[in-house]
Amino acid sequence: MSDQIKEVKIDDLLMKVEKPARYLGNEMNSAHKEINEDMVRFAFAFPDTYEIGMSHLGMQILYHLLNEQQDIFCERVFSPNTDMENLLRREERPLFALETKTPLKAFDFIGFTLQYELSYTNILNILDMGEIPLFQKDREEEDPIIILGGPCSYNPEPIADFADIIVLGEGEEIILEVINLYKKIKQKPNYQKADFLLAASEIEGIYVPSHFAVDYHADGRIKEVRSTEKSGGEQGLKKRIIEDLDKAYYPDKILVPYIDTVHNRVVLEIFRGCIRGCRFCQAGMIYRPVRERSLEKLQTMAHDLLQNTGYEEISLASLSSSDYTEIEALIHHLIEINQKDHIGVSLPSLRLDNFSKELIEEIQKVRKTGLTFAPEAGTQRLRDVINKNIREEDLLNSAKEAFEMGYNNIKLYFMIGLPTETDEDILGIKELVYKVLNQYHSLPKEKRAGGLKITVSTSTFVPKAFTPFQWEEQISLEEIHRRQSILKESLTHRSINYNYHDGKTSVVEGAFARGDRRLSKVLYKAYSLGCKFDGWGDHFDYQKWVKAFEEEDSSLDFYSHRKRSYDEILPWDHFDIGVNKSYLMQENNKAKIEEVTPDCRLNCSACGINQKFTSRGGVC
Amino acid sequence: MAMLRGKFSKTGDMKYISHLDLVRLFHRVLRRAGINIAYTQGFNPHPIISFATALSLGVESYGEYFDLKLNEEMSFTEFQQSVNQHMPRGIKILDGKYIDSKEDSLMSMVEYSDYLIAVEFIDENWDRELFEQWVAGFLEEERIMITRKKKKKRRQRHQEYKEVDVRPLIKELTLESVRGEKWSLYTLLTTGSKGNLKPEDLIKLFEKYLKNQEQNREKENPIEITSVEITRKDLYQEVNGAMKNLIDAV
Ligand code: SF4
Repeated sequence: MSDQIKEVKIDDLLMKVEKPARYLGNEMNSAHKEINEDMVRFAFAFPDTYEIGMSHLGMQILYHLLNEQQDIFCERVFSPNTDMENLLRREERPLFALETKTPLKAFDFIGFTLQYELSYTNILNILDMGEIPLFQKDREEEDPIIILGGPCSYNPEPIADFADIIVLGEGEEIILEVINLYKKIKQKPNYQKADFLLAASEIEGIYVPSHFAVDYHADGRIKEVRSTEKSGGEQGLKKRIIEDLDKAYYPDKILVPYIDTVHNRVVLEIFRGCIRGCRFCQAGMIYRPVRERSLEKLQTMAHDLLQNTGYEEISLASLSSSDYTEIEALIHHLIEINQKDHIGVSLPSLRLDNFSKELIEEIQKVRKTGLTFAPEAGTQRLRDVINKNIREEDLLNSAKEAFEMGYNNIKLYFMIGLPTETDEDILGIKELVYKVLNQYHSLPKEKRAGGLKITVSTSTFVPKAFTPFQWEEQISLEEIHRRQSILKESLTHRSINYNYHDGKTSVVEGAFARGDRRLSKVLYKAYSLGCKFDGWGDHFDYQKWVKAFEEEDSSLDFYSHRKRSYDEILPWDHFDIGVNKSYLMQENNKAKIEEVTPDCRLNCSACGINQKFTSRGGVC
Repeated sequence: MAMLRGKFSKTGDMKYISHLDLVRLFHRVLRRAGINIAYTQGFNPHPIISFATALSLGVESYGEYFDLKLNEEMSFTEFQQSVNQHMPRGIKILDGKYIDSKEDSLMSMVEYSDYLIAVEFIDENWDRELFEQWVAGFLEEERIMITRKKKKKRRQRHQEYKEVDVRPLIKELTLESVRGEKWSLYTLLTTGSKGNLKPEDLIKLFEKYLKNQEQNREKENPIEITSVEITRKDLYQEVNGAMKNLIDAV
């Protein structure tokens, strides 16, 4: 970092913004280091607010992992809230990293996490506020290296033109490899960024988008993805996983914010992956295979994290916590902690089919919160199509048991617009919800708690890359609205509360989820028109997006509402995530004939991950 | 069981932490420091700790107080050391002692608080004498009225306001020092259930008064305060006519 760059002064702004504690950067367990010349300065950027970013586990892991290295200093950046952004822009002060208030342009790396397609404009905004050229091609030698990773990097094409490097897969090991390589190469005389990018592309899991070019057919479909003269080979295009989670890095402390954030508590990641194989679920495919942490490891982690943060609550994180093989033992342990040290325990993402009454009762001893169930579809036929192995009886029994135990607050999640969905399936949602309601009313009054509240939420199905539904179309905006209004009109009982997501955001999300490289221009245009915080209902402006697509001669229909054929080259086909395309096709075919696939523990369906990505081979 | 009363400072960046967040910060720091705190009974047990009076965001303080119930008495010095070790910079336990748990709550004890208020003006070219005259003049006002929100009654839809005379709540106001462009005022204000005036409000009232004076002077630049820095010095109870801070008062 050059000496001329001074820290950004914000003291005079803090009293003028809401929640100034967002910008202090001195939270418990935050890293503060003596800066020296040889240090690699890394800014971990989260393209959303402080409150959301601080709740992100991946950020917490990488932050502490990097800061445990002596010669790396990792700081944090979040999207400033509008009040702070306006002040900074008015005063012409650049965006800075929280810990030292160093302007972003002085960093060696800025790493963005791609959590959600609708946060992409915030990435551009952060770069812009940091006075860093947005497009990779416009950046100079002294500009930071922009590195992207996270779940959306499995199809990073729509944002590829802004990135120097994209990380495919889990970051704990690869991030250190990248930085160590940078340190080595940077020392060489006549160092140039291109040398580093070339060398980095040799690392497995690293994708350098500028080393590739895409050709298109006249009808807009991809003709070929080819490596350019800059390319050094293609070894990178395979996702990285950590094989043994017990040996993987996990911080024994995490940052404790001063203000309330979305998950203001200790989070224990109990396993990665999912045994279930729901056909719409991207996480279920990209995070394969299932890797569990041992009970002993989790107990130590829980103890250390509580000790080092002082948190009053602990929660479990995974895609489906009750699938953890030792879930009962783990919960008993947490309950012990609760009784001894008064620590609250929360257990999100329990599935209802293997949901035991005893388990609920144990949890209830700790804290009686609402229960959440996600049947996803209203009819058994459609649940078979999406491979959600939940039967109506399971839901109704669980609901009844819950009501008997005194729960009066139940949330039910569904999706609309799933492939093959008919009005009958939509009405099936209504019927199912009323059956749950009847379970409550069938109990004698003295056996149930008063004030029943059933919250029904529907989101719109968005086909995602690397899922069996990646070829499917998304229903039109009119159709989304029509199906939502069927439910609006039929879920009118006073105990039922119906929530639905704005269909317009789903359409834009859908375009970017399966978009190709040409969307970078649309993204830039939308940003120029003023789009940011698109994931927030009050900021999202659909008309601006429509305009951006129009002006760039692009089409939402083409990306969101078009069915792809099996032989089309998809924008993410050049990445290897371990799950074979043939398996995805097979699952798609089975969906069409409403045939279910058992979960991985009952029967391996040979998705392919175990051959290429684990040393175990065979069945996971 | 033992009740510990502690005094602490809240300065620097920590002035941006709201009262609610401060309470939670204490809970977490006490846990980290391994203090054997007593918990409330019931469904969501929480530490038994209470604070004197909330400090506004942006105000620094050298006189904040808490009462904390411990399951077991430990030496205050040991308590102080281990807690300070885990506190973020800006919060520091300064003093403390064990008190009888039958003592009045901090909240009901507070009667006064004093502050240093450093202000900067756009037009700072006045002499000290004139400024002191204004301070005196301000205090000579018979009534100093402020508009306050009335407590909303149940089901009442619109907010109602009332005018309150706060002159009796200002016990002292003097010019403490002038350093460069910073004019520092010292003030002692009634605080708590028997009447309450916040220093932020006092300075606004004073500014209003200055503007009125200014009109009489017929100067071009209107008076405008450009920055205010407030520091609370301490909280007091009046015991037999003497101001005692909340530790000395028990
Ligand atoms: S290899 Fe078999 S068991 Fe492993 S994730 Fe794939 S389908 Fe499941």
